[in-house]
Amino acid sequence: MLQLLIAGLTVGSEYGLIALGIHIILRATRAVSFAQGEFAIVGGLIALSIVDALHVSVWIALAGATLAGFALGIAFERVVLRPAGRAGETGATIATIGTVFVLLYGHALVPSWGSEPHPFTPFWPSSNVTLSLSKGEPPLVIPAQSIWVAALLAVALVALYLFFERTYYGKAIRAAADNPLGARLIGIDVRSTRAISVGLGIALAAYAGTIIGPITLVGGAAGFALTIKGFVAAILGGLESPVGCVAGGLVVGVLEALVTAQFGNDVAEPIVYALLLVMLLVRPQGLFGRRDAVRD
Amino acid sequence: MTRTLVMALATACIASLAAGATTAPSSAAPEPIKLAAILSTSGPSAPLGVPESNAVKLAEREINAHGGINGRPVQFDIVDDGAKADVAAQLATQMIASGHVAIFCGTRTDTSAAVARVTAAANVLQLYTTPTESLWHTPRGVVKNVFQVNPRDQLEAISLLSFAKSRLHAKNVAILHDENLYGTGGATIATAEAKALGINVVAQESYPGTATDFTPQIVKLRGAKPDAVVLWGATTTPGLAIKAARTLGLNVPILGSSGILSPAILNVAGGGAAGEVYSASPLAGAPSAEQRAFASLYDKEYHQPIVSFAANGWDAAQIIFAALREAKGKTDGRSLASALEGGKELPLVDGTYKFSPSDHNGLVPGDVHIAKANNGTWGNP
Amino acid sequence: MLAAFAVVVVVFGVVARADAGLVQAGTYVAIFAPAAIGLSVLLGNVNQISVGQAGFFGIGAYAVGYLTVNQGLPFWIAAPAGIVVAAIVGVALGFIALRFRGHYLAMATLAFGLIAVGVFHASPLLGRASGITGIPFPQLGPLTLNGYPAYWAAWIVALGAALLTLIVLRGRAGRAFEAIRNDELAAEAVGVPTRFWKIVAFAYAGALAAAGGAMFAAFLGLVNPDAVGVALSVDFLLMVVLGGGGLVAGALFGAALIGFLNVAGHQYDNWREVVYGGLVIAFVVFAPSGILGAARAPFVRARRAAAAKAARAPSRAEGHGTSFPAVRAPSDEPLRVDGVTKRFAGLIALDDVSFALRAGTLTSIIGPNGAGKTTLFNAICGIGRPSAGRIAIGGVDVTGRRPHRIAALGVGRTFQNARLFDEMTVLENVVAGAPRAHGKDAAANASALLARMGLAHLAGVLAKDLPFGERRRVELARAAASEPWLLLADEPAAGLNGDERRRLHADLAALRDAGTTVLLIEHDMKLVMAISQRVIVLNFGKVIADGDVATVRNDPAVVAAYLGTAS
Repeated sequence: MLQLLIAGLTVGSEYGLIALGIHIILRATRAVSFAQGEFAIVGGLIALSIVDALHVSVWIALAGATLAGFALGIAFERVVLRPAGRAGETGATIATIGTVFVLLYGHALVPSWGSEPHPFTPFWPSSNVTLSLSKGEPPLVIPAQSIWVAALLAVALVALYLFFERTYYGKAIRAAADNPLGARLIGIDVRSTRAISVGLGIALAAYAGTIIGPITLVGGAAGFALTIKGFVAAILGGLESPVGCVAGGLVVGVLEALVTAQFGNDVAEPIVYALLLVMLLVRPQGLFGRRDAVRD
Repeated sequence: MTRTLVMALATACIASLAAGATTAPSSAAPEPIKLAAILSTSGPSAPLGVPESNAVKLAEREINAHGGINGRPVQFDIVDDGAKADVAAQLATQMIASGHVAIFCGTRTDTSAAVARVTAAANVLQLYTTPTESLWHTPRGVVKNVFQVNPRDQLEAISLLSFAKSRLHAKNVAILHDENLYGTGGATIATAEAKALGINVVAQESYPGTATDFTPQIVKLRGAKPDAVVLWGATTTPGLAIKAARTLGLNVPILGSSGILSPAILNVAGGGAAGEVYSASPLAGAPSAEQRAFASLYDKEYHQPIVSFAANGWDAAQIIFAALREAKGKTDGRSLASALEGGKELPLVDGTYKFSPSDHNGLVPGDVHIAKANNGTWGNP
Repeated sequence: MLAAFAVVVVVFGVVARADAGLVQAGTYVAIFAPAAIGLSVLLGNVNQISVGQAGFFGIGAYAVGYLTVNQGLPFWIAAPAGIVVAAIVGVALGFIALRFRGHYLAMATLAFGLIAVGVFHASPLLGRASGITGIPFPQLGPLTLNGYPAYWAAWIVALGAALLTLIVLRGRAGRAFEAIRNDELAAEAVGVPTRFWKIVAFAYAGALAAAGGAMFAAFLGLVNPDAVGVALSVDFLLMVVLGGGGLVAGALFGAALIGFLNVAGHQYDNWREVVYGGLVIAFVVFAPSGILGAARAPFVRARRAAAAKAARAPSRAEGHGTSFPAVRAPSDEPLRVDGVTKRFAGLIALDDVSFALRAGTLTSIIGPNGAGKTTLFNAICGIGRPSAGRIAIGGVDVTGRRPHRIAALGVGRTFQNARLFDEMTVLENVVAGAPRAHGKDAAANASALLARMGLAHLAGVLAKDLPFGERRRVELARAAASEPWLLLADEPAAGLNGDERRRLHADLAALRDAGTTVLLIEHDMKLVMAISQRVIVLNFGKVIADGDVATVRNDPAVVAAYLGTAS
């Protein structure tokens, strides 16, 4: 049980970060980014290439992948979301689906990436933590990387919190997202705050794809499944609530682990999605959202 | 105005399609024999389809370097079905319509099955590489024009489980498999073979191909206390399953299908930390002359070791070449099939094929060997 | 447009006969087309996005697979069974969808698609991951529907679905859909049962998708979870958006575009898909209304310009002395409000409001901003159930009834901010005002009404192109179209100039003279004093005065609370 909880929280951290990226982009552009999972995959691959090509530590690779994610996000906003946004929210969302094709199949074209997933260096070459809880029971094993993932999730959340609450830029981004016209009137450049928001959202995805890499492998065709999990997490926690997105991710991760262990993998997905639908019906605004966000 | 637009659009569609479908070689040389490979080289099955495609390209180059077939060069057109059955069926129809006389399809059971319906109607020889025999061996009898490369699931399951019984003295096994067609099919057959050998299957769990976390499955298997775990999967994901098993203290031997036999999986599993892992595959054991020759060709071209999918692709091409040679100019499906059913032995990479009217796979359990992981590389048990 | 497309289908079928590859590609376009048409009704006509359309396609496909292979039934029984099951599931999804809009609706339908695939994948009866194989071709007498015959059979189904959809859209359902798409609340207020029609739309879209799925399973010979996953739902969405959202022919174009793209360029594996993704983005950027939308744009622009020109033409008949058909309320007391209280999270918007109206009178409600006037209207119309109290209309207790059912009794309503159906013409707006009228009658009645009100020259103008003053009168015309015996008019004169005001005033008086009981919210005291028999004054949700004009004008409480502050 505890073992499953640890596993669920580890993958849940990734879902939460993906969901958070979806939330930030949604808030800034009103488009739902279907490409979030693909950006996480590409981010992980960039980190892999940095380690392979430059023989530097994974920490530098993590920083590099996150920065690259930010740059990709700016480009994504400029080339895809901004022009497509003129066709409305649905148009922009459809354009992110186009981006999925470009990234999913495009990354397979890069010679050293290909379509197969690759193993990634652990962040700390230490062994796992093993706790014997009671006699006769198998011991509880906490993989070292799980601890790192939890710590790095916390780091990202604190950094984001400080950015949005304490810096001028962060406040400007929030103002521009909530009331573009008002923000423009007080002299905020809404276009650039939008670009920075998308950059942040994608940087988060790349960050998530890298920190989970040692556990899950990087690359491959898992991006879309990851996006779906991100959606589920965001809905469960509350699409309009950043805290809800992260919490939703953790809940989905744990739920998935428990349901799989209880009922088997075959029925795990339908059960988790059915729970999501029930959740939507009972509490459409999510665990942390406001009621009025659901309609219109 | 709208009508002209409609027409223009339709014409544009047709033109682009036609441009895609036809490849027109024009030279004074004898007209090439056109063959088609419909493989999943993009999408979720690409890790399987790409080595197959690589091998087919190599086979085409080699046969033409050695004078082609019956004096005619071979043109092997490779198209990608993107792991979609309906696309594969349409591509097969296109290929047959444009004069391709044999089809290698394909990478997945569903694409191969969809194409089998097309080749049966058009009387065209088809080779496929997935481990299920259901495409040629149906309840209604043997399908004349369809042949299977690669040892079928049954042969792998027999070798793995008899190895588990005789060498590992296992009485209880657990099965962990990919939830896809390949893994589910393998698990079903492994269950049946275990029963036949008197081994209990104490647990069976599956995982999605995009799985990132195996804790729930491993915890359940661990609880069933098996003597060994049968692992049916492919690409690098099973490496994560092995790693999770060892991390969580499930230290029994793991017996993998031929899809496991890749260095990358052991790398993912943690090299030496992977523990006792076996795989049943024609590529295991002491390499045959054919295997050595193909491995060296493949390495020279792609700088990679061969995996079972590459071997499958190579063998599929060679079997089609053999059929064309034997049939002496005839290219319809029945003639090519009869030529293969003649029973001439074909020593190839996956073993020595000996087809007959009742056996369209042609391999025997002896063609499958057991490999053992040893510090991150595959060796002999 | 459909006829043109049918001609293309026939020409293509004859010309491409010799090329089995082209014929088969054409067949698959027909297989995917019904699902795209269904989705285009949902997305384009009812403004409901669905990312779960492949789930219904899968239901049709699996029904055919299971019933033909496992139960030995013929295709012709299996396929309708699948369509029925899909329609029922569609009703269920429709119920769920009622609760969501926008992104949430997209997610809910996506979850539906995932659950459908999950169920297929987990069902031993449906073959789990392997799905069902060996599905026989449909048999039509001695003819096996395979290859060339399959092309024609599939297109008969696809074009039949398109034709059926066009017929449905021309009728009452189409008008209801259009009203919902434009403004759900206003649609309810004119008597459109929006929930019912949304559920119908989901069921219809599901049934069409299942028809395509049934053909898919039979022609391909197999179905498995991978074939009917989210990727296919996304394909359907692309067909509708790239083809031209909201148009049946657009869905057909989209299906043809995606269908042919799907089988072209397969020698380029990953590159092909990258280019495909790029094309999708380019389409959204450069042709956001789809192929057909872009092709139609010049015609639509020309029509709008022509309508605007006609509107400026000097045919303007003066509307003074407008007369409306006589109506009779079913009781002497068309409206009775009894102790109605409405609370919003700690705020009391209406506090024990009671009054009753006599038939054929015009009563004004006045009061400062925030006095609860519009909340009272909403409560009467069924928008938001009162926290306490009862409302009877024509002697019938309607407390808690849905707005469309209240409207259907004979209640008309205009909104404070003139909620017209913006993408519809003036005539269509007025036709929509009487959702129960039948086809030709509806149009004739609406034209007559416009002529009587002196608005005939505007008939062809899109509502969004109307000047502000005309919007008010058109909204009144829409409310009058159903010949209501009770009319609630929420500040109809706000923002109008003197002349427009007089005309509106005359319209309201004429409606009253025809027997309609009018309840009017108005700020303009001159108008109130000129036409009202009775004035009710609200302040902070309470009735502080009620009586004839002279009494109210001299009531000290009113002077203090309202007139004093307003002037």
